[in-house]
Amino acid sequence: MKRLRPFLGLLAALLLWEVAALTAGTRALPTPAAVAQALVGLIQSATLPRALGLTLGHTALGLGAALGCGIPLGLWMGRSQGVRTLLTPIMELLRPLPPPALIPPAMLLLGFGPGLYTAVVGFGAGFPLLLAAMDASRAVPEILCDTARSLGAGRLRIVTRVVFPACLPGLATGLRTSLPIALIVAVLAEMVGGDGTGKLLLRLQRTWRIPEMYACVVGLGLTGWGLSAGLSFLERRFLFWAPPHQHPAPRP
Amino acid sequence: MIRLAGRLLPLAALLLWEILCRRGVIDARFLPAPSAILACLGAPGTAGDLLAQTSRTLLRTLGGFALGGAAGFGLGLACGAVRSLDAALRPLVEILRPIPSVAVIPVAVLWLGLGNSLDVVVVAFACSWPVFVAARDAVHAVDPTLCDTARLGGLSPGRVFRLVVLPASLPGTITGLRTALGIAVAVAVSCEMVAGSDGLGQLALTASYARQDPLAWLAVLAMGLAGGVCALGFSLLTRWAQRRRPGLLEIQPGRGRMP
Repeated sequence: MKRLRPFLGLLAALLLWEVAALTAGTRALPTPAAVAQALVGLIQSATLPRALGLTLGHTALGLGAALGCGIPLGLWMGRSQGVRTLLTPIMELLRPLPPPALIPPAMLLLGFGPGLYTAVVGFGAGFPLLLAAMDASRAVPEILCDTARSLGAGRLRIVTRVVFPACLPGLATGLRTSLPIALIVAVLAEMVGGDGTGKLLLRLQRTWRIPEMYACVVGLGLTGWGLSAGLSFLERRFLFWAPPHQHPAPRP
Repeated sequence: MIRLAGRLLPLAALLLWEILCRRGVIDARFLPAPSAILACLGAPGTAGDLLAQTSRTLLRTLGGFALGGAAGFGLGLACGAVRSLDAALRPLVEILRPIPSVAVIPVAVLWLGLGNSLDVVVVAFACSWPVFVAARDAVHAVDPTLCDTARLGGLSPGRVFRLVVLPASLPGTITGLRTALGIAVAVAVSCEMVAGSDGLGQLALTASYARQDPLAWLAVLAMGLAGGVCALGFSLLTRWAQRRRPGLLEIQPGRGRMP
């Protein structure tokens, strides 16, 4: 009973939904059972898995670009005062730009295709990673680098063997911020033009297949949840040595 | 020296863009030169329209932010203070939070139709999560010694909450609010793109469909300005609060879970 208690809230919400759907009687709010049935139907017909696969692919494209550009640049800016001063103004100029803003010009420049997703999702997901890499690499204790240097390590070696591993927890935090952003921007780009779950969602709405539309939202929610759960799992598995950021701080 | 170079770098990039366009290295049909983009501002009606759309987008952003921020703040404080409420709501929160906010747009269209209320509600939905999580975790992170001391001093639970927990959790909550504001601008623009008839998002999209590239770029510029104005306004507000009440927003070293 005690273990079931957290799910009471969930159960109450489902019940509330069911009652609301039955009393409202509009087609805009199907019952949970109808949504579940639609979800099964969408999965069986392979519509939803295929769309989600496309969305995940687009997210991965953008995230790959963000990782590939954001982390090296962030590390470089963190380690070198000169580069940081040089690039900070242009970064501060670009940062307030909301990621969706890039969709229309990217459409013109790159057309609909992998390039669009890479650019737009990469821009949205790149900034949190860049900032995380910069902050984390600035926080690496100088004594670690000095020790490595006095043991004869070159500059590149220090970055790859000392700075980068020391930054991993900070990078994981940045990735946790940028993963949902990547998914959101990917879905939005799909809605505006293209394929994948975003398009499927709009098509289901416009053809008035409402339970299927809700099922699609549920599928996206599950995907988002799975991604963040997977990331936490990887963090626990590979970054177990990191100073845990959720433990109680020592009493002052 | 480097500082100056850094300040000049954006200008240099613009200049390079302009030169490449003039030389024909970049096809101006796909990427108009900065001068062409600015020249478009001089076209009759453009500047006024741009201003009107920007103010629409900003109003939706701020409306949604206020609504979502207030909801997230209130619920977060409640969940932070009342453990059983937190335990009951946690699975529901864990299920609703990962839903990409733009996926809510088609559902919200069914309920609210197209218009301002749609944008405001979707923005509020997106904004409420970071504020909720930040407020809840900030309340959890308040040093229990502080609360115990206050209670021993004879304060009622209500006053402990108002005089101790609320001020101690404020810095963490402000961080959540700052994140939410950035999200608000992005979601407002997304809403206008997917389901809207006006606003900067729609302007950028229709301009690019109509191959009015300079106008589309102007709209992008205005979105960046809108985001910048929001972020600047927020930091000015926090700085003002900091001056009025020194120490108000400084993070207190605490025991318990850090956000």
